Parts: sequence; structure tokens; C-alpha cells
Amino acid sequence: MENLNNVLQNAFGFKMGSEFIQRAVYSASMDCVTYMSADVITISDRIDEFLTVMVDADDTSKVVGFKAKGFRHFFTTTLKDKLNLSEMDFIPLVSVIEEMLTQIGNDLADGDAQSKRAKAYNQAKELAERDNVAVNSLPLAA
Amino acid sequence: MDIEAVKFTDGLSPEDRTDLVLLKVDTEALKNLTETRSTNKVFEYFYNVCGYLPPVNNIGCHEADQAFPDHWGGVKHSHALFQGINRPYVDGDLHEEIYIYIISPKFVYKYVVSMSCVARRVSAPPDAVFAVYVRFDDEGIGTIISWEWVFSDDRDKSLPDGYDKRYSKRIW
Repeated sequence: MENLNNVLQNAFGFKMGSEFIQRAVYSASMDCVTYMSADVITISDRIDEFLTVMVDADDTSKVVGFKAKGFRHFFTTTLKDKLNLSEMDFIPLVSVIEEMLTQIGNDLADGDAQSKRAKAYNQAKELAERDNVAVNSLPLAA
Repeated sequence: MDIEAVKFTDGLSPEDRTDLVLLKVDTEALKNLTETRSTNKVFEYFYNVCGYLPPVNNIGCHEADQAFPDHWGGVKHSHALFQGINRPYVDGDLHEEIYIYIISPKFVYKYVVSMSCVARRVSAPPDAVFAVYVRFDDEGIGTIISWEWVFSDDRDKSLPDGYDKRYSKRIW
């Protein structure tokens, strides 16, 4: 990876990390939190306006990551008060997904528990629980 | 490799797809991927976004019996452009400022553990297209803020699944 590191260093001033890290990352420009559990080629499956799950391109039945979209918007309008959080708090993503599920609960209640949508939320929640995923803090400026 | 070439790349103009516009990467987005060593996403940036081979030793050695080098990657090969990501966003309607370029690349470079070369060219995922998300400033320079493979639509395999609902409008 020496060439890659040289190019990155010369062009941008940073290099590749030494090993793959499972980390939830907030993107201010996309206003979403992305979590990836593995370094594989993925295909994003848009579930609804709040959730996208990423599946392994070599095995599309395998969910390896997810995006919680409109994260700052959701944090400001719902999570902050409900979970009594500040922007500098450690935000567990399992709580975020549970709140999202509560918000869309009425939609899922119509005999829809086995739908692709419900399944995807549960898969994301299981992944967040299994890997104990959290966002360290939100940048103050969006 | 020309260092400027990986900081800036050509895209097609939203106003006229026969014109080129300058695109640059959101360095924070790329930095997040390098810090977590998300090698496949970094290879996507070089090849599927910028159109350059991943700068790793012996690139092409796995493809010795195939046409190589290849110049088929990059956002300049987009065939569709949408505007607005139709979802909650920081400030209300700002999602409308995001443009989404759609490409159907032939290939992607996959990270492999190998003594000879860590990037192997493989066929693009079937039933998927590549989406590049861009915001333009007042001078018309675009910032690439994200990129990803998305499932294609059953009605038109060259477009993302649910393209008529997931985006606000199609530009071209």
C-alpha cells in the first residue's frame, strides 16, 4: 500500500490507517451516520427515507452495515429531548434505531411486521447491538 | 500519478451534459474512509469516481490476460443525473442542493490479500449502478460528498431502484 499512501499523503495530507476499524461515522455533508462492520464491496439498499442497509456485494443476503439518514435532523427534533442527550454525548445507535422504529411504528403496524422494511430495521438494530455501535459526538456545525 | 488529478476530476455539467465541470472530493469524507482503512471504498474513489487505477504496486498483474490498462472508470461516464435526495436533511430543503450522478461501470477494484497486488479487477455487482453525490458552489465547482453502489430498478436496470421516488427530479 506504499504507493497508495504516498498519493494520499501528497494529495490530501493523510494516509490509510493500519487496520480496518468498525466505527460509526457522522457525515455533516450528507447528514447521516454510516456504520460498516467489514471492508467489503457493498450495495446500498434504500429501505425508506430514514434507513439504508448495506449488503455484501458477494452475498446480498448479508447485511454488513447501515446508514441512519437525516441524523442531525432526527437528533434535533426527536432524540435530544427524548433521550436527554447533548451533542457531545456518546450516542448509542441501537437507541437511535429503536426511536426510528417508534416513529415509523404506525406504518409497520398494518400487518407489516414481516415486511422487508421491518426486517431491515431489525437487522440494523441487531448489528448495532452486536457491535455496540455508537457515535462519539456530533460536530457542532452541521 | 498526477497528484492534482486525484484531487479534482471531470464531471458532466448539470446544465448541459456535453460540457465538463470541475469536481473535487470532500476531504473529510475521504479521510474518514482512510482512517478506518475502508480500502474497497478508497479504491472506488480512485477508479469509479475519478477514473484512475488504484495506485498500488503491480496494478494489472491479476488482469494480465485481459485488456489493460483500462480507462472505463469515472464519474465522467455518467448516463443520468438526478437532483434532491428526498429525505430528512439538516436544514429542510437543503437536500435539493445535492445532485446524484448515475454510472453503470463495467468493473470495480476489490481489495485482496495478495503478495503481488492488493487490487483485483472484478465485474461490477449485477443489478446495481454506481451513484456519486455532489454539491455545487456558487462558482459551479462541485464537491463529491459520497459514493456508493445502489440496487438498480426492475423497470430500467440503468437507474437506481425507486428512482422516481427517491430523488426530487431527473435533470438528464
